[in-house]
Amino acid sequence: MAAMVSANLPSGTAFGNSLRRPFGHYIGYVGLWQNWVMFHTIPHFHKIRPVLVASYAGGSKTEHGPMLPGLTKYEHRTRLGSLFFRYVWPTGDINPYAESYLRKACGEVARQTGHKPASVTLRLDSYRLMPLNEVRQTHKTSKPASDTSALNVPCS
Amino acid sequence: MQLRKKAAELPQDVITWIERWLLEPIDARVYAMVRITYGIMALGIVLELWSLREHLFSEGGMSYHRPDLLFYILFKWVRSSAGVSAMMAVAGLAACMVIAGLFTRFALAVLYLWNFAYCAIGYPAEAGYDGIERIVGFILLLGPPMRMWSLEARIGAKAPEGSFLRRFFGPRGATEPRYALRLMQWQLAIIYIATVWLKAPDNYWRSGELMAYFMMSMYSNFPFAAWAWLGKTSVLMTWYTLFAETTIPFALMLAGTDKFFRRFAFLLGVGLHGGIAITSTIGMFSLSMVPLYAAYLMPEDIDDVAALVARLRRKSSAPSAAATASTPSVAKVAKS
Repeated sequence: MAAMVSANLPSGTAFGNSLRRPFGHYIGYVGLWQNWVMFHTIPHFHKIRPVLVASYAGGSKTEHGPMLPGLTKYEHRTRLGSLFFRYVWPTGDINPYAESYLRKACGEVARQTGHKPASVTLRLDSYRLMPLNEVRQTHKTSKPASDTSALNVPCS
Repeated sequence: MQLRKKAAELPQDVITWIERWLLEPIDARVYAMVRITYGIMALGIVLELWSLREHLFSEGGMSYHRPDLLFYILFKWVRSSAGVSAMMAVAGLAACMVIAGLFTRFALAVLYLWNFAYCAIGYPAEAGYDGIERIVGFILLLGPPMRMWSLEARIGAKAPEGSFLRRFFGPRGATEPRYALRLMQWQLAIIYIATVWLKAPDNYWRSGELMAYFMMSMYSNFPFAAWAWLGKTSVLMTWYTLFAETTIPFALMLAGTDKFFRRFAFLLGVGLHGGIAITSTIGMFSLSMVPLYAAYLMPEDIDDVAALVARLRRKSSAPSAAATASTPSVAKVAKS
C-alpha cells in the first residue's frame, strides 16, 4: 500500500526522490509504476495525421506513412495517437524509443525507395482545436497545424 | 490510570484492527466477481492490441527492443511476427482461463508476464488501463485461490478423495481473507485522488469548459462544433467528473457495510465510466475499472443482483407460461 502511494508522489518537491527511493526497486521489478495524468487539461487536437519525412543529401524530401513495418498510412487509434505524440515531443524516457523508431524508419525508406535518406524525422499534421469563442464564430472546431519532431535522426 | 491502561493497549489494538481490516473473511463470490471481470478486461486488451501486434511488438515495428531487457520480458526472446501472434493467442487463452477459473494462478502469471512484456517494449503506446491490468494482476497473483464459480471447483468436487486433482482443486470455504481486495480498494482510491490532484488546479476544469473541448477532440465519439454552444452541459459534465472522482474513493472507503453509501458511490461510478464508454474512444478504460469496483462488493450486493435477475426471469417467462396454458396442446388437439 505504501509502494502504491509512493509511486504517485511527485519528485519535484523539496523531498526530491527520497520518498520514492525506498520502494523504487520494488515498484520497478513488480510493475507497480503508475501515472494518472488523464486529461489534466484540455486535449488540443481534433484530428491528427503523423507523417514520416525523409531528407536526402541534395536537399530533396519525401513523405511516407509513419507505420512500421511497411510505411503504411496512419489509421487513428488512441494508443497510436499517444505513441506519435510521444515521438514528436519526446521526453527523456521516450528518447531511446523515438530514436530507435526513426533509425528503423531509415532502413525501411531505403528498402522501399532504393535510396538511402540522409536523415529522417516525424511531422505531425493536425487539426488543432480553436478556443470556444472562435468555434462559435467560425462554426469550425479546429484549424490546420503542423509540428515537426525535435528529433532528426541521421541515417548512418 | 485509565488513560495509561488505554495507552498501553493501543499498539495491540492497532495491530488487531489492521489484522481484521486485511484478513477478515469475505464472501468468496466477491473474489469470483473480481476474477471474472479481470479476465474480461484482460481479454479486451488482447483483442484491442491484436490488429496492432505487428506494428507495436514485432522486430520491425515501432517499439524499442532495448538490449538491457530483463530476462522475464518475453519480447527479449520473441520478436518474429509469428512468435508475437502466438504469444498474444496464449495471452487471450489465459484470459479465457481466468474467466472460467481453470488453472487460474498459472493463467494469471501468464497475463502478468504478458502485460509486463508489452508495456516494457511498447512503453510509448502504454495506456492507463495497461497499468491497471498489471497492478490488479499482480495483486490477484498474490491473493487467495479464487475457486468460487470456477471450473477448478467443479473438477475438484468430482475428483476422488485423496487424488491429485482433489488436492489442487478441492473445495474451499465460502469465505476468503480479504487482503487482496483491500489492496485493490486502496489502488482505486489512489487513482481517483491522484487524478483529481492533477486536474483540480487547471483553469479549464474549474471553468467547466473542459468537456466542451474534450467532446470536440479526437478522443470523442461525437466531435462536433455544437459543443461550443452547450456551455451549461459542459460545466455540468466537467464538474460531475470532478465531483465523482473526489467522492467515490471516500464514499467507498468510509461506507463499510453501509449499503446506501456504497451503492451511491457505485452509481456515481456508473455515471462517470458509463459516460466515458459511450462518449469517448477510451471505453477500455471504463472496462478496466470494473474489477477495482468489484473489490468493493459485499455479499448482499451479489444477493440482490441475483434476486433481481431471478425476478426478471420469472417476469419474462410468466407471459409465455400463461400463453402456453391458454393454448391447447398439440396432443389435446389431436385427441379431440
